[in-house]
Amino acid sequence: MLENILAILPELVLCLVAFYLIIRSASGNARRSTLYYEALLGIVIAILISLYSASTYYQSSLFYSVLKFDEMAVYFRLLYLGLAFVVIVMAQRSFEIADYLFGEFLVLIIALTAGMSFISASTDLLMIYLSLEWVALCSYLLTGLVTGKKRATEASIKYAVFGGISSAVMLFGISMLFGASGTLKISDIFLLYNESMQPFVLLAITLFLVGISAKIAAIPLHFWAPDAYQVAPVPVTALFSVGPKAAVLALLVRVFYFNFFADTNSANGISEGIKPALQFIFGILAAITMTAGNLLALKQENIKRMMAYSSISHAGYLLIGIVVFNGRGTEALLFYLFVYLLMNLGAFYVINTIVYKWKTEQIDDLNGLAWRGKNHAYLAVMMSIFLFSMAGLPPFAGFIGKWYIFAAAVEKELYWLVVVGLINVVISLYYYARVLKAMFLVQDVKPREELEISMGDKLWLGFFGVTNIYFGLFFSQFFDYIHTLIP
Amino acid sequence: MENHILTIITFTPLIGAAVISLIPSSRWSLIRWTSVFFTAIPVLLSFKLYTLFSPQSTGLYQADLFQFVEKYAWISSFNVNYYVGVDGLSITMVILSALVSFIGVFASFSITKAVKGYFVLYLILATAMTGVFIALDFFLFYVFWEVMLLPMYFLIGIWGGPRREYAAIKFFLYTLLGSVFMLLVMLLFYFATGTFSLVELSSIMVSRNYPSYLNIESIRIASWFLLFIGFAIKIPAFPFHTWLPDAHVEAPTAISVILAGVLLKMGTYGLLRISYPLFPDETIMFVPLALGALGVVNIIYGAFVAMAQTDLKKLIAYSSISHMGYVMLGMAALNVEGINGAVFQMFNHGTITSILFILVGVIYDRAHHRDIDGFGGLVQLMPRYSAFAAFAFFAGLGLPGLSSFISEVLVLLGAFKVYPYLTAIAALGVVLTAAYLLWAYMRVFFDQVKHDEYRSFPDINKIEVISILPVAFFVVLLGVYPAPFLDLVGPTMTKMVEIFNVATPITHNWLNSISIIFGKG
Amino acid sequence: MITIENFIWLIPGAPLAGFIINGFISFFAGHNASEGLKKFSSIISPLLVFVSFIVSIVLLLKLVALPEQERIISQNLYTWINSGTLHVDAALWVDQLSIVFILLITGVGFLIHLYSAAYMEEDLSLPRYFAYLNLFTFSMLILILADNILLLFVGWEGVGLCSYLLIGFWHKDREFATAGMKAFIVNRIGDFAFIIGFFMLFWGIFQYGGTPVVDFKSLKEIVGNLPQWYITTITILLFIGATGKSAQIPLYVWLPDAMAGPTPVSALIHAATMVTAGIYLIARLGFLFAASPVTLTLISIIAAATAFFAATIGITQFDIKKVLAYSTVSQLGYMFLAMGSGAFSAGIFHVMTHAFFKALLFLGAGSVIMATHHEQDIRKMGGLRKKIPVTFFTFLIGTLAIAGIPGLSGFFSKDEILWKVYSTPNNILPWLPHVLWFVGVVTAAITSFYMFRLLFLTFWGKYRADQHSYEQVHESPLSMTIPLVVLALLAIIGGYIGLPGVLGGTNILHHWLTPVLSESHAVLEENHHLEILLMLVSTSAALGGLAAAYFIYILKPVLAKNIASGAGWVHTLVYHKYFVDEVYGAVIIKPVLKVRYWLYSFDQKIIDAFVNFTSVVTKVISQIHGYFDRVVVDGVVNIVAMVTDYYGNSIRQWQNGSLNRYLFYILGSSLTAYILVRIF
Repeated sequence: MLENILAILPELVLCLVAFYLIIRSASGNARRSTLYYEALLGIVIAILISLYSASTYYQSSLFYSVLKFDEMAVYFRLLYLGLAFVVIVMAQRSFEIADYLFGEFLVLIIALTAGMSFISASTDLLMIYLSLEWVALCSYLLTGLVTGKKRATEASIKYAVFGGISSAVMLFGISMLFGASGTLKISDIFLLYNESMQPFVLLAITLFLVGISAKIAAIPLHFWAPDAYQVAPVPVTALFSVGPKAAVLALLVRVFYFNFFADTNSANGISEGIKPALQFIFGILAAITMTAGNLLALKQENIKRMMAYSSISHAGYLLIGIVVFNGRGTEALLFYLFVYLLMNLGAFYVINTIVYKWKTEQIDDLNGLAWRGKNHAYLAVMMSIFLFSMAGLPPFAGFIGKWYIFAAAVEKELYWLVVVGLINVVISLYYYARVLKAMFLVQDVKPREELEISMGDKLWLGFFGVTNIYFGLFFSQFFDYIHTLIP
Repeated sequence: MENHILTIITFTPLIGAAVISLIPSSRWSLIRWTSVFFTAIPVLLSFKLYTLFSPQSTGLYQADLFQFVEKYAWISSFNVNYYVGVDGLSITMVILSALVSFIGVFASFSITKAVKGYFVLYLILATAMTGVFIALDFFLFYVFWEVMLLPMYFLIGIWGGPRREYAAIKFFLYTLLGSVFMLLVMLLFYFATGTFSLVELSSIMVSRNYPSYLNIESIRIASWFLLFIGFAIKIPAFPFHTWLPDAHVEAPTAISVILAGVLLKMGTYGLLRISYPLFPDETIMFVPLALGALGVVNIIYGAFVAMAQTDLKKLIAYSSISHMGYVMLGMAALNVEGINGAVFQMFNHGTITSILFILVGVIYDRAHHRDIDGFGGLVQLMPRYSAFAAFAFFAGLGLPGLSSFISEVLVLLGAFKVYPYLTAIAALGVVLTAAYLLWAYMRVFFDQVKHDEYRSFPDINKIEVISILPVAFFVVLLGVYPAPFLDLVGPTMTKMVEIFNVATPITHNWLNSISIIFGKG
Repeated sequence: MITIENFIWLIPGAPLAGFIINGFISFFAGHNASEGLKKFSSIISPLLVFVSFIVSIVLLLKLVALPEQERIISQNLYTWINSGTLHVDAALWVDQLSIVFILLITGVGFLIHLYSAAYMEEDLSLPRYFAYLNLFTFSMLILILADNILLLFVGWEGVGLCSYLLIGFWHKDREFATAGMKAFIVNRIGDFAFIIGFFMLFWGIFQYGGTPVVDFKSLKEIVGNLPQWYITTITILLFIGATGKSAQIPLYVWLPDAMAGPTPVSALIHAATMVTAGIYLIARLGFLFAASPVTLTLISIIAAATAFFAATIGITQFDIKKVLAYSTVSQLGYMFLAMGSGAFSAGIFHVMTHAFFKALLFLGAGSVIMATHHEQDIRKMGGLRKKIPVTFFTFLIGTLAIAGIPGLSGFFSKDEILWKVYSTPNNILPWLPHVLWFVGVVTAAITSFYMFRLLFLTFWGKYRADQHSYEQVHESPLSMTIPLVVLALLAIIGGYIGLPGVLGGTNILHHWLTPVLSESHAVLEENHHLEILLMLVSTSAALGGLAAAYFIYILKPVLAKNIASGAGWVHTLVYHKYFVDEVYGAVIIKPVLKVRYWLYSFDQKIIDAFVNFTSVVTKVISQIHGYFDRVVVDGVVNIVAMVTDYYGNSIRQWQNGSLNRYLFYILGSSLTAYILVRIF
């Protein structure tokens, strides 16, 4: 029992911090900055613990094997913690989050983080459902957190309803699986499998997928995403665009690659039988998602909304990593998620800095950013690095991410998918370049108040910029590390 | 030093960029001369390279026949290496790009907006494009190829002319669309052979025993075309050429120089370095149409359209479409004369067009317009400038004694052996070229002086002369004594031709058809 | 070891040096060179030409010393192009044929340089002028000395360039500039045929089992393998090239306009030297041309036509230089006539004599023009013989020579040609020789007519411009008159080098050239009586022309106009040069100018439009998506909002409002997915 507790210690710490912050903010006299540092402290502690102790629990399956913090789960946990850290840093200087809400905000972020790391660690259908809902609830709240915006309420409602229904559908699928196999352990379901289960299993998987794809806002189940992204405060958007996606993808990897298509299970026959079908569905899903996401992004005037659609299209690229159902694809996926985190956070950090002062999210308001003096130029240059990285051009990390993804697909001879992906690279460049154009090429500079960019901001941006270039050139070791995460 | 000379040549400008980014942006002249310095080193080194290079290292598909090879593991998991080296083909392009980026700096002295940013980007560009020519690893090649687009986008987009935004994004997307598919081909090859080394790949493919699915012809054909489109857009070959006039016209002088002088060569270089050795059979199958016919179209079409221009810069842009046609035609010949001529023409077009664009820039800086009919009588106002212009124009129309004559003759000679009729049509380009160039020259330089305010124009100044002389020297030298160049590329190209061993002369049919006309006397 | 072989390069080298020196002077001095500089370049450049003249003389002596069969001196400077099968040396080659041309070019060239020094004295950009002139001499010498086709082509194009530069020398005048451009482009058309011919020759040899070569020596040995129809094709192409340089139908149109250049240039380039390049080409490749009767026949027909038509045009012109220009075209016709009949040496002979008297005439014309303050219209001249005696006498000699009055050079060369034409049988068209001969004789008559017309109108009668300017008329300075005198002497005695056997001579030139010229070995019917007879006929033709001119322009000056008006449309036709320029304009230039616009709009409206179209399409699609997105997403939201407003904040209501829709999408997609699964 103690082992189980120790294994999930980081999550426990997060929960404690969350409770603590609730009390602090409830008492009402806490200063924003103190809350801020306490939250960061909590996260740092969680990270340290995880780094220190995680390796010992890789093999052990916890709580009657509903959770398993193996290498991949820990990798994702660290990803989330880092994400949360940066998001909180961003939130600290976001005007959208009023001081009196800051406490709640921190609580939700931290809770969300814990939830996500449970998702990617869960090996049990019920646990999956619970943790997904956990994350979902926090997300709804975070979306609607900003009062005063009319659309905010709408969006969060929409998000909530939609999320609810999708979970329901997924739950239905899960229950069918349970009914068919009499167990909730993913690993067992497919072991207990026999012919009579086939129709159930198929339907169940389908429903499960639908629910999942709604969570990662895969087109055509993405309705909630753009509005939610747009209305949520920039830090939250940053979080949404990476966190839940990562978690769900991790889940998919675990369910399908680790279990369903694992050579160990007796369902090999059926799994091999429907593998092409699933590959086809996932393929179509990926293709549509990235294409439609990009096309929708083309016309956006609002940069956050544009980023929302771009993140949808990135979900498409990520799905390719699932489609191939093999080690290389999974590695590619993990790597891509990491670099995506870097470039996406960087971009949102810039946006946050701008929105904070100028209170605008229109792309046209970035006009001539690069020509407004040193700091602004720095901002613009960094932004262009992140954008190029997202478009997937060398020598930036994004390129390597796509490179691994496409490599996996080519190896599987999914050429059509690669072609679609490559064309999408070009399309996406078109709207990323729109931002570049606004920042650099347009030079009619309407007078605006000076953006204030602290040393801290510069360092953060510099950090993201450098990492984006570093992992674009010297990523070999890191990739080898990721290689070790996959059994 | 000798062992790393290529890396030094390539990355010196990048260091320069780093240095400049430390200079306060107000110190213009310091920035300028720093970039002169950091582009001069590669020029000097590339001549050292020339002296150290032995023409017998004919590279292509034999690793041991490359010189100045450097090979370091880069991506162990994918067996990607930092693998550079030169053979007779690439060394010429290395020299060219070093030379052109050097004179381009002087042509950039007229830049006054955001000088610092300009030169930083410019030097990055210089590194990227040199890198393309030394890379022997497909992945590395691709990286350099794409990296070159980024600074180019800004250089056109920020320092360009009125329609710069349109031109920049058009160039960016168009060329990117062409090149992304290289990625697919690259991966196809990797998973079939397990290597990205162009040399290894060539040696495998040249031996004609294709591994795994590369044995399927349709896959090879598809890949050939995927590559071809990418390269054809860069050249630019006929239907893919429309980005060029916009980019050239909108770009600032120095960037037009780089574009015409080096970038266009990447297309043809890519074909020679990658498509030819990697797809010998497909190449034989498709070049007659894809390069031969299209090349002729380029020549004639480009010439006609150039004749229709009223903007001097646009005229030269179309003229370089026409001139690149010769390169394509020569490559299509697949015989030593043709391909030698093609490579030589690549070099000559690089030098000559650079001069032409610089000269256009010179007059644009003074008159702030480029309307051919808006000048007149410049000979009386700027005699020296006109002298240089006359030199460049006649070099452009292939006057004997200047380098382009030899390359054009070689190309046509080589092509005539294989496609006599096509070549005959292509040779008409010689007349058309003379027509539009001389006509333009007359309207700009001869006749009465139309605008008296132009009388105050200063004649071409020292900096501008410096930016012209180095390349002009090569135009004359290689025209009178081309041996240094031809001996350099000759062996490599001879070996290249052997890949296709075009033993059966395709010349029978046309001889017969002529004989039908005249009867076997 | 110092032998003359190692100094052949001096011949072209010296003028090249002149070009470089003058080039630098003019580059740095711009348009207003100081008097000192002008003096310097006007001394240095004739001097350098003189140097190569001396070297040529030495070479001549050397050649004479050698036994007849091995009269060859060559110098290989370096390997020029070496790529694949193409191996070209930059090698100079002097034999009996080239020495003749070299002597002409350097000798006459030197005189004209000398003349120019005075003629161009006032011109501010004199150094530029001499730079061009030297460059021309250099290119011309390369053309002659080249030992292979490609190097010859270098000179070939080089002279074209200089011709362009010198015609357009006074570039302020748009017309002049245009004339230069026209010359170059028309020549390029010829060069196009030339280069194609060269390619065919090169690969033809390869095709018929030889190793391709370019130098004349090896070509001569190897062309035997080529089938005749093939040689015919090549030679016709090369001949087209020749018509470009040597102003024959159909490419002669540029030469009359070329008179825009300074008069000495017309003398040097457009009379004495460059225009004979075509003749040289044919003579040099005689072994090729002689092997193709078809080509030879074609040549002689075109030549005769050119000679005749040009002559007729000559009658109607009033510009003193234009008259001479057309006479040049016509005389070139004679030369090609000789070539066409396979009588190469006769052609060369006429090249030589023509160089003397035509250069003389042009320089004389120049002197007249200078004397009358740049007046070129002979209607505004007259009675000048008293004012400028030297010019007059020399001009007279020139006229006599060209008209073919017995005793002067023109007579001998022209008669040799006519005789050879008459007596050389033609296997393809047996009746042709006599027709050609007849045309030749008629042309001779016309020639002497329009030449004397020119002479009379210029020097006889009374001055037709205002009296004041008549006072101003003055004889030219010595440096101009000396060349006139020298050339006059040459124009007289020049003919005796080819004195025909029938007149007790031993056609020295013919024997000198025979070893190198592979003339078609048709048996000439040795009929001296006939030869004498023909001689008399042509002589009388010449005298007839003279008489007619005298009658019309001295005795009955009014007659000229009456005839002109009497001739009616014929006159207009001839006066407007048979409207050839207009025809070309309509048939070639207009279409080209049209096509370029078509193609440009095609470029913009089709190709580029397509490129932009793709991006537009993408945007449109994205808009459609966006629309879909808005309707679905916002539609739902709005319904929610509406219903909310309507029922107040009652959860149940708005959930009903939206739930169906959501369920629809979710279940819809699940269904599709499931079906897909089942399918597989």
